[in-house]
Amino acid sequence: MQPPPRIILRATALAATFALVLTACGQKEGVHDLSIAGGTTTDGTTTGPAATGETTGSDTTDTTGDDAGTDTTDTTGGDDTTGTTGGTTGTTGGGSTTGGTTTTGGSTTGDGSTTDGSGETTGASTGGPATPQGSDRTGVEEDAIHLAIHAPVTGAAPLPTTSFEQARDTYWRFLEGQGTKVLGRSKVLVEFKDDKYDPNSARQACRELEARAFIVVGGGGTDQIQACGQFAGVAQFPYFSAGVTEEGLTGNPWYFASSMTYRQQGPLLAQYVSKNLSGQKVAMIVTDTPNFDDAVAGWEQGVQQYGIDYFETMKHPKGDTSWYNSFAKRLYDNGVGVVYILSSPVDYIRFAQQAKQQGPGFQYVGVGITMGLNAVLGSGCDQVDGGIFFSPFPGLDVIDQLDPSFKQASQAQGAPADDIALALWGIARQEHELFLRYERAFGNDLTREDFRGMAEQSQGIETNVFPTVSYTPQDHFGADAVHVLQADCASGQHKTLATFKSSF
Amino acid sequence: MEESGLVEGRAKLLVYAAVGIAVVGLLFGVLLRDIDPLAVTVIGLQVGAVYSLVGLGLALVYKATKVLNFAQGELGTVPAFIFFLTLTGWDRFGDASDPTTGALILGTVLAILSGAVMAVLINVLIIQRLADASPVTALVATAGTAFALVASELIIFEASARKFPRYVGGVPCFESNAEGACINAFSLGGINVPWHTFIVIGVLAATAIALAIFFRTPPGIALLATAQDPFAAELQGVSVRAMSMLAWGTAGALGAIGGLLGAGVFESLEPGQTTSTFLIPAFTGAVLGGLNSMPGAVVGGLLLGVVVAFANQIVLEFGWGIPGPPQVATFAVLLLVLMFRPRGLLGKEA
Amino acid sequence: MAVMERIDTDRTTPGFEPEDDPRIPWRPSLPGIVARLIVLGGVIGLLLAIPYLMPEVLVNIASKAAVFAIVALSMNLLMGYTGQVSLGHAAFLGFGAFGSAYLISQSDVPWIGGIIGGTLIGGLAALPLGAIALRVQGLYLALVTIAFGFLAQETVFKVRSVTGGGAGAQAPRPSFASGDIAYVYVCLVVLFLVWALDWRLTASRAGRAIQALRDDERVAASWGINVTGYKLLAFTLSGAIAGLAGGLFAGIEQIVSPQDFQFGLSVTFVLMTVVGGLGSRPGVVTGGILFATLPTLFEQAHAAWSWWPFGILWEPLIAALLLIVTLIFFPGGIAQQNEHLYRWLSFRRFHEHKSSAVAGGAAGGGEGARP
Repeated sequence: MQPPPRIILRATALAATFALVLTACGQKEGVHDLSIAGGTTTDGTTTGPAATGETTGSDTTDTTGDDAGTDTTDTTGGDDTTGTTGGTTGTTGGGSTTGGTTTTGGSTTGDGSTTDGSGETTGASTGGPATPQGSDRTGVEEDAIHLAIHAPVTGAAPLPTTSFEQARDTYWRFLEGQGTKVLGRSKVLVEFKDDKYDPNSARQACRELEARAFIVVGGGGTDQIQACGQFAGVAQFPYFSAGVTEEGLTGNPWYFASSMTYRQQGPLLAQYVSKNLSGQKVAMIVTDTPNFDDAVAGWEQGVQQYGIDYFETMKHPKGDTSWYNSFAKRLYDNGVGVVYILSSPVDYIRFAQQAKQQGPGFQYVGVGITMGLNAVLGSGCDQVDGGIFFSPFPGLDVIDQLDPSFKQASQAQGAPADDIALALWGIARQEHELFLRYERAFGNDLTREDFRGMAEQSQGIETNVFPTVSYTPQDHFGADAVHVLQADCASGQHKTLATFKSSF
Repeated sequence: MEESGLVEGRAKLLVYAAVGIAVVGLLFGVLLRDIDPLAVTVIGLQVGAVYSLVGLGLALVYKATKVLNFAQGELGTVPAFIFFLTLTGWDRFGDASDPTTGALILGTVLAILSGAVMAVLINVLIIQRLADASPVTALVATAGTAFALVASELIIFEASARKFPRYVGGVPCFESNAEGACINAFSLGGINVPWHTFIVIGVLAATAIALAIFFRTPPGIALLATAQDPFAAELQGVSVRAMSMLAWGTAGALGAIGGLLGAGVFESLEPGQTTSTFLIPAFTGAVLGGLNSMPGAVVGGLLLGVVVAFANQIVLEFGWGIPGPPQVATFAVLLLVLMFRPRGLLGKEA
Repeated sequence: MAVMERIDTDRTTPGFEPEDDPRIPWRPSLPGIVARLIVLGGVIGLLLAIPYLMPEVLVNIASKAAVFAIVALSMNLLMGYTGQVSLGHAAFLGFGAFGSAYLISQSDVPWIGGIIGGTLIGGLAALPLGAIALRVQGLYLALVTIAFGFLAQETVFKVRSVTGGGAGAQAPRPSFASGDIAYVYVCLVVLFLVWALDWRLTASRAGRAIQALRDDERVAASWGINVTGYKLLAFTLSGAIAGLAGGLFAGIEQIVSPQDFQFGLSVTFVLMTVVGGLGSRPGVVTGGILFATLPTLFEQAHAAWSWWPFGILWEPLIAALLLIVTLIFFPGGIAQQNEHLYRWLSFRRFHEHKSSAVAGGAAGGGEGARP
């Protein structure tokens, strides 16, 4: 039997397509590069000042004014909520503008922006800025900057999706709505990608994001953040996440922790426990994973330093359900009252529930991103009631005093206003603050190398959501304060006990 | 089955040595350090009972149709969600923490029915079409079904846990203080045993007895006959299709009960919960007991729960810091049992 | 009977000269040969050109696909030829990955030495399971492989000094292929070598002996086949190939962490092998490639086509439904679906009367028929 001629035809067609695709691909890449390079240069010299004059200028003025005078002192002193709020209104670009438009200071801010703004911008572009030395302008377009976030929304232990997808760009859309330009560009676009709760997938996700976005942000999941942070060091793109582990990330020039790492929070938590929960025996329960080794070391150092009456550190196994009761019994038998728990929320909730069955329950304390989420209260109450957790972002109960624009913007855009959204908002504000500083230093020609260099020299990056961060070339874990949240089952939310605390 | 005498003898010797060492080690630990065997056993039985319940469904399906049903876990989670929805008045983000008795009964009935219906559907739509394919193909198809169900749950219910009620909450209490807090609860070896554990163990015993009786009734005998020799059973006028549907339906109902009671252990429910928490230990327990034996599934699940609890306790007490004591213990006990009895503790040769 | 069919199918692999076997009298005509050569050349050419056709950031997916294809061949050796399910294959991958990474980055062994070391370690790790398989069979053994996988994941890979703790172990690529595109070719070359090895094995005495074990151990023993030896051989070879794949896998991201080898990965390996088609080399390789690329394909579709209706959460559901539908219509997997094509490409007729060889009835699992 002869082979059907159709197959020969198909083969030829296949070969032809493949040749076509090959040439097309080769062309596309070159063209793409050119357009980016061309776009940015024109942007910096001609379009930039003309288009931006009105609004970007206002931010710059505001921030510089306050930075020189109050900013740094305010942060260190700003332990209590009200103090910080006072400083807020005038401090940072984005926040101040909103506060202005909706409430009191509307007229003044508006005034200042139109008059001062143009002058400041011209001043910045003629006198101040240095010429960028770097060449990597990935994600930077003529009128837009691309950013990206990854987080686990499928896989073994996913986080609620809607918040990540819908709230990924709330802050930037809010700025857009205000008419505020970022580095002379009217749009900041944020892409979200699922990392499937798997380090290997996370690296690939970040590789794809990094090719399109200027900065990549890790939204949650210690292992995935670590994997992407390590990849950022290799592929050389700025990577930000809330502080998690330091394992494999120390000394990485491209990784920036937006809040205190678990290791850094250890001694602080020990101090908190020794001061506020004194007279009780303390123990730690931690998931047996190498990525928590540094957290354990930091905590045990703090325990020694503050002379805490300590029982022991208990590493709990994975893939088993009988440890909850065994651990609870052991803790009760040894008179432990306070438990520092560092695990997945599921394990925390289950342990608390089983422990409550065996006795009066424990006073839980802890650190981290996910443990302070209100979602934990959904199935954890009443067992987790009163648990005290350090968090990079404040509770939703005080956010209106710290940054009223968050809830307003979320409401206006129909985006969720929950704690995950707040975390994304906080990181976005941090990025914005860095962009503003970059603009002052280099103008609107944004490159990764210069951005990184500038970021690691930046002191006192304040957002009113995340703690103030100061980076040095040697240390990218630059935060030294936390918010203290307490689970409150009556309201189904975490109450904010204290904001921006760096000692107790 | 191929049995080489030499290998058999050597393996037995090794196993005896290993058992001896394990027993001595265990006694050493128990005597020297204050591990309370009763307490650890109670802890182990509490979760082991759930392993047994889920394992019963696995064993039943395997016995009747020679399929390892990876979707057995989701035959528990989906009905648990239906139960949850019944209690909240079909509000997927509602609150089910304070149900009425009527709602509890209705929810339970709906859950068990849905489990049975789902299992029959899986059997009719997927498994029976793969009758000529290898058992591995059927296993993969059930795994695919499990993934599809978990993915659907994630879409509908989102990745958050919700509160799940127990039939009877709390711990049996003999004496309360003035504030109403219990000061003398029912406990064994210092471990408070909640009502829920009594319910789980009671249901487990009832199910095991019901299954034992069922296998003595005509349909039960027909099912056994079909499992042993489908062709001969067909000749006797037994419908093989009906028998496999009966087995799957019963397994689905069992799965639903396992899912409801399993979610009750931790009083919370999230997508994919039974699969991620109970499926692998239940499978392990069923294999330990003998995959084609119902009593085996019960014994195996309980045994696994106790063994793992002891492993955790010993590592905890001695502070050896061995990573993954449950995994080490599971592997060790599997080897010990299967080297002695390759078909499990109570399993019969196929 | 089944054994004969088996051998028949295995001779359909490309490169086999039909005139060696008097049982296959049919030979394609000259245009037929040319057409087949063109298509084969096109497929191979496309394979070689793929790294240049893909966007740069996705090139590593091609390496991953090649590695998954190697794992599929390793799984096929166990599941397709000996009929034994392994639900712990991620462990062997991990042994190979950590072994080669340690050798290369900690012991200054050259890359090729590290890869060979990883292969040996993978084989050694599989040896005890082979020994257990002498006594325990079917789903009982499948569970032992699960328990072994968990043991590796939770205990062995947590030995910080070897696996590098949380930071993971560095796994450098060879100096001659440090770029992403070059590394794809390294993986493809290894895939080709493993394919050739597998082909030679199935054609050999040992290969036929291993397949005889699947159908009935007692019969095999009565033919004078050394059951113990060949079982150990099958397990060790499968583990070694998985270890080899692990060494390559480590080089894709040039770092491996203990969290990379979870139970879910082992399940994926079983799925891709069965969906590919047990016992069929081109089938399982296609399955491996498909499972390595499917998530990315979904994402690309999601990003490129505005009409694509499925969000992130829908992707796992669609993938699972695809799997179920494929198996319902083609219980023999992709191999059954494309068997005409595979046969035509291996210089035989497009249509053939009897075609049950690749389809159902592949791995017996030693459990007997199901009602």
